[in-house]
Amino acid sequence: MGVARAPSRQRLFWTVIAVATPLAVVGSLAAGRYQVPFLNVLGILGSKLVGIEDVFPSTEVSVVELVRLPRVLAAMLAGAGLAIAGAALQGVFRNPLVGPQIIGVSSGAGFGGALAILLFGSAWATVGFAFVFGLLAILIVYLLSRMESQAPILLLVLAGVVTSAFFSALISLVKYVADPDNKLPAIVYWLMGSLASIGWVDVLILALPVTLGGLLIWGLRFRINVLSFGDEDARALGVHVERTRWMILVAVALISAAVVAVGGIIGWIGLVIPHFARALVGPSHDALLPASAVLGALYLLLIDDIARTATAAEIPLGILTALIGAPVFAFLLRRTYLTGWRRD
Amino acid sequence: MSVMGESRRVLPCAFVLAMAGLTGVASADPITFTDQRGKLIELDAPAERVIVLPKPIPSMLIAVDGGIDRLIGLHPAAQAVLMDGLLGKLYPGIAKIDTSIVGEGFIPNVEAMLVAEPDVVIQWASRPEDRIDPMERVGITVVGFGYGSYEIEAEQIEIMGKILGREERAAELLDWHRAVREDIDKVVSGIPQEERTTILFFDRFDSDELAVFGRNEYFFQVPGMRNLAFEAGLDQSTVTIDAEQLLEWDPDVILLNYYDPEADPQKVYDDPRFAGLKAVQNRRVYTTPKLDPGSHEAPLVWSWLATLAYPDKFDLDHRAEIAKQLEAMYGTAPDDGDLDSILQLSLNGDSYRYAERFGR
Repeated sequence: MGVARAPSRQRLFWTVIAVATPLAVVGSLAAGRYQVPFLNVLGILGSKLVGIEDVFPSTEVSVVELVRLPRVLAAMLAGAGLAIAGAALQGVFRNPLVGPQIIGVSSGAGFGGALAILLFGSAWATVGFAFVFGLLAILIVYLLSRMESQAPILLLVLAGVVTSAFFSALISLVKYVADPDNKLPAIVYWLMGSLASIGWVDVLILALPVTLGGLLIWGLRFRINVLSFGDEDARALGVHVERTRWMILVAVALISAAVVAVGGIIGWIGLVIPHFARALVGPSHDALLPASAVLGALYLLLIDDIARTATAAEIPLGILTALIGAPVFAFLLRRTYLTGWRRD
Repeated sequence: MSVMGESRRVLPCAFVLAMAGLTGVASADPITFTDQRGKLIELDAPAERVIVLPKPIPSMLIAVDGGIDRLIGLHPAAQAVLMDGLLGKLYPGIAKIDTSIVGEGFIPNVEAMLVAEPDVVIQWASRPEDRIDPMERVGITVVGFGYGSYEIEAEQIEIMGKILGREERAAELLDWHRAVREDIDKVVSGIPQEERTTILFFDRFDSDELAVFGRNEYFFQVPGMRNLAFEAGLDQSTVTIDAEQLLEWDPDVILLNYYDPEADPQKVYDDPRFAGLKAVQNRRVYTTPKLDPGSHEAPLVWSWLATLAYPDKFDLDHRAEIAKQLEAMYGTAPDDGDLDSILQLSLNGDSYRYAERFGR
């Protein structure tokens, strides 16, 4: 990849994004099972901006404002968060196969949420438990992988796999004891991932941790660049390797737990999108992180549009992201192997 | 002498023969029927010890038999549900019935079964290799029950009558089903399709998920209700939809499943997203009564639904009818508090004409 070409290529990328994003948002707001004329959608958004009320039918207004808008924002926040988390993890672990699911956060948060549905059945408990257990999973990974005051990368990934497997078993246990008439369908549905019942409260629950985690990762972007040269080099350049890595992990835990808490386990985005972004804007994290964020946001927005409009029944997001993500990933893997990751 | 001798020998012989004849009537005429997986079942006599694994069926046994004496084992979840409701109050002994005989997924615990010595085990007919074969291998008589349609449920009542030797009681129940159905049909059949009440029945209606019944259930057909989810082409038993789809369908009546611990019409009324729905504006959102629409209790649910769908066309005294039928089934009449609870008065009290039609 020519160094001189990179800026113009990025400029093209951001130009396309700047055009595509508003189109995607308005398009998503106009699409849905309830018929709202396209001009009315624009009108409803516009009338909100200038403060005019009661022009459009109240049901159309509530569809756009209370059903679609929060859902569109949630899909974009979740997609952006997962993709940034994935990009950061792949950078600090210098491993293209790492994502939030690999290091155990998703399973931990998934178990917490499933447990809350089993025990309480209240939305707040689900969110709280998903957070607590997502962070607990990270803590377990930390304790498992910490040896002689530092954590070798391989050990860390293995600890993540072990933790993930452990929490997956606990999820199975919860499903096993759950009442199959009542609790089990709720748990299964939630675990498959869905934004079907997103309201403004959920958007808030999602926005705070995702913004916080995203900003933390963004602040560490140059250190991630240095870390991706390898621990030795990074230390030689004066980066506090351990501390940086754990700050990234906490940020990732924050983001993933928030996403799981609100939308269940939505796989593949953290893994696939950073590869896609890397192929478009190159491996430097000051370009890669924002590119991953917007691509993740647009990707999940599109997937969620399909989930809610394709049929009268909701299609679980986890199924769609995997069905589309796996083949795309296989394709990208072949391409990026030839360009981005083939360095060693 | 010889005659005397003969007769002396003949008399006891005749007695023995007569006795043999009497018992012979039972053994020569065993109870036979085909269960719902198509297997011919033979019983020498009505079963005295019955284990029931499918969750909705123990109450059917109680209704057909008029008591719990012959029910010696049931699913722990069924036990919990019964103890929570009217039957637990009428028959506290249900709490002591053995539940160790079945595990998750209706997999029988064969050794516990052998200890319990059942004459008959009633089990789901699906997945027989895991659920039935292990019992039959050790010589336990298993009756397979299916599910999914009214015909299957009605036949189960008949089979239950045969197992327990109470065929007249089973026939009585089915006659009652027929009578209620015909009464409702007299009113409903005259209503043209496009004027029929449209409904959505939510299996779950909570902050995480909206899941509707997708099939054209028999208990929608009898009261002449149109399930909009079914008409839209869905056919799974429950299907998750989004809020917009509910707004698009805009049914006349919204039903919430009482199995859902969060079912509460007030939540639907208070949700700003749904303020424009017909069912919300007309306050026609109801939690279903604590009666099983897929069981012997079905006619009580049919009548309840018919009254909600066409409040001006039915004038049944529901409380009296429910009290009478439950007494006939379970031996004791529910009191006013029980009826309030069965009919969900506290949840539905503020919905359209509910207190008037179903209150004290």
